[in-house]
Amino acid sequence: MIENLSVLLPGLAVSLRLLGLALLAGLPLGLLAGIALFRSPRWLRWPVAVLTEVGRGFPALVTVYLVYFGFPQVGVVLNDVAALTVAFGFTTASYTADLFRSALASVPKAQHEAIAALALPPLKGFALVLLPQALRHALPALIGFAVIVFQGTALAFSIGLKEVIGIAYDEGTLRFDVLPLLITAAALYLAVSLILTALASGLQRRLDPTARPATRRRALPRPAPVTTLKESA
Amino acid sequence: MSTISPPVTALSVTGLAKSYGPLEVLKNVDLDVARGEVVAIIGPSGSGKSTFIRCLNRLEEPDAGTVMLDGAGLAPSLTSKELRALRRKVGMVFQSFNLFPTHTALENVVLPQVHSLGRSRQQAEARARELLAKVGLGERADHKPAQLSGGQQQRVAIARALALDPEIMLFDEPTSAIDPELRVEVLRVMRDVAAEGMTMLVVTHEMNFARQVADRVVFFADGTIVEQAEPAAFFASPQHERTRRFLAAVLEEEL
Amino acid sequence: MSAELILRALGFTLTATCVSFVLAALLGALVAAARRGPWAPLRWLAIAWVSVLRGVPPLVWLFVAFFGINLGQAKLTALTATILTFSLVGSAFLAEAYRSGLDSVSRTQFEAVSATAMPAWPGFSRVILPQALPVSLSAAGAYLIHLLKDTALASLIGVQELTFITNDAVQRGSNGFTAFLLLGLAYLALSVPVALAARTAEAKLRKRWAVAA
Repeated sequence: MIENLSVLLPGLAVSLRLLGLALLAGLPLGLLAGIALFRSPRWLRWPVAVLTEVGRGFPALVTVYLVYFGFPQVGVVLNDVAALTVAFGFTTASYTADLFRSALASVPKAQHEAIAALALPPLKGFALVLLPQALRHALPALIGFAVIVFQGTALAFSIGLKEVIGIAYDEGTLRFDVLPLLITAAALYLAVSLILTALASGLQRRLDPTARPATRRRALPRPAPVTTLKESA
Repeated sequence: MSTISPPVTALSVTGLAKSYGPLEVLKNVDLDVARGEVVAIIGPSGSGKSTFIRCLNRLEEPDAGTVMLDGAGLAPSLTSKELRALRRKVGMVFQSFNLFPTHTALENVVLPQVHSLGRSRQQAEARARELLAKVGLGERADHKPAQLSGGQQQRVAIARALALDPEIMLFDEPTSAIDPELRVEVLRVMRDVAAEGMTMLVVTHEMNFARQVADRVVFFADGTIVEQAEPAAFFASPQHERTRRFLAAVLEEEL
Repeated sequence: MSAELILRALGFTLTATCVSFVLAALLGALVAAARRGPWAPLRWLAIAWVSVLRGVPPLVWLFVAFFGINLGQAKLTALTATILTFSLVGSAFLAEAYRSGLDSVSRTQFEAVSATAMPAWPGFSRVILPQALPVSLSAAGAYLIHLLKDTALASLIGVQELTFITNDAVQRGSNGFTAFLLLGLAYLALSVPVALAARTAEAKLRKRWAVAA
């Protein structure tokens, strides 16, 4: 197991690098797209909506093939890492656009009214008041999505880039025994996924303590009993 | 109820205790309730009064103590069959009504009869209509809970509990979640149920109900019964400092 | 590409999707029941089942099933390995879909069922389920679309479904840009009826079990 792990660890570095590149490319785009979906003129909102529909509706594998094998036909030749960055970045942007949009929509109406009442310029109000609240709201879901992107990096196998699963497969074939390496690979993926998931739910707990099922025990609306104020003295 | 024959004990609780982790919610509570008696249970929030009545139909599992119903003791841990038998005898009305939102008022009253008592649909429906009429909602039988006011929902909930022909009815702050002007209609129904001789334990903040309808007022604080008496005596001359403080606070609110 | 080839490939894609989904739905119900059941070891097993199956890329499970499992000398066929993989992985996702539905039902409803002495099954089927189902159903519909797209992975172990034949044609010289664009649009087109069906079913349920008449 330890030996298998040392064989696969360089692959993990590749996977994590792909994850980093995908997020670096995808998140800023996703935020812009999310803002466009939330509030923008129709001529901008429509194309953005179609593109994000495509990014979510295509299987990620097909998007990878399209970029790696298809783009050269229209004059865009990318090496494997660049093609994966574009493909994963596009998919990431498409999914997170919706997360950002709904986070923006979740900011209470009273906040918009407060901005108006304070006569803040719209753009300043957006950047200083709405956006920070929305980002805070979106953060746990974004980390949750990062887990999915991380798992998606296994698709690099399909165009021959050697990350965890690619190395496990090649090395296993050489040894005529793939199962131990595949299981080790699964364990590696699981470990990273669990760490990221724990991070996401920890954040969720800190940001939104009411959303925890543990507090559902007494979730009934309890009107303040008439006595509390003076009784607690 | 006739006052000539000696009272029959409907419910007898001894040494009831319950903790959540380090927090002792109930400490050694004893209480006897006679058949047909109406007991108002009052006290500050967190005093354990809700937990107490929830232990009586085993929505909460007590840690220690015995509960006797009609002279028969209940085992410390009940099988699901015994639990259901207990809950057929002990009806409960919740603070937040807890009607089944996907069913009409009529269905809410019919369903438990069919599935808990094995009544035929026809019988159950007839009984349900009768009870809904009794709580003043005969016209609303086909409404869903969301279309009813809080007071109306609570009256359906009372009909639902009565439909099982229980021997005892528990009320857990039945009017706390209802708009003040709609509480009257619920309290009136409860008064009618009491007048028919039902044994009732009512956790409540309604001092007027306690004063006018209850046969006895029980004051809970810090997980125990501090004091109990007939309403007139209880409100006129509370014996304990803790009770006096509570009443002073509550009655001042009511002014 | 001949029409016959495409139809055959479509058949593989739909078979893998539908058979896996049905098996996953059944198995997922068992997992969800174990997750909420009274027996702690079974609950832990259900939790472990869900996090392990969801914590590893489906591609890895697909390889484990196809390359890793040797029953004596016999290997699973690529399609069997695909269906096995997605039934198991899907059971984890659908167990979560069921759970999210049950979690959306207030605890007080469970108490009301208990307090009215209803037996477990009628209480569950008549009171709890109608409230949980719309939530579960929309999560399950979303997973079905996800599953449809995930079956593209089966091309990597040689199932001759839509992605496989498209990639094959491209490697033999077809225009990759057009081919993969059309392929992606085909998946989108396939997911539209699924989404519509899920939405219709959900709307029907919501109407039947409307909270307001």
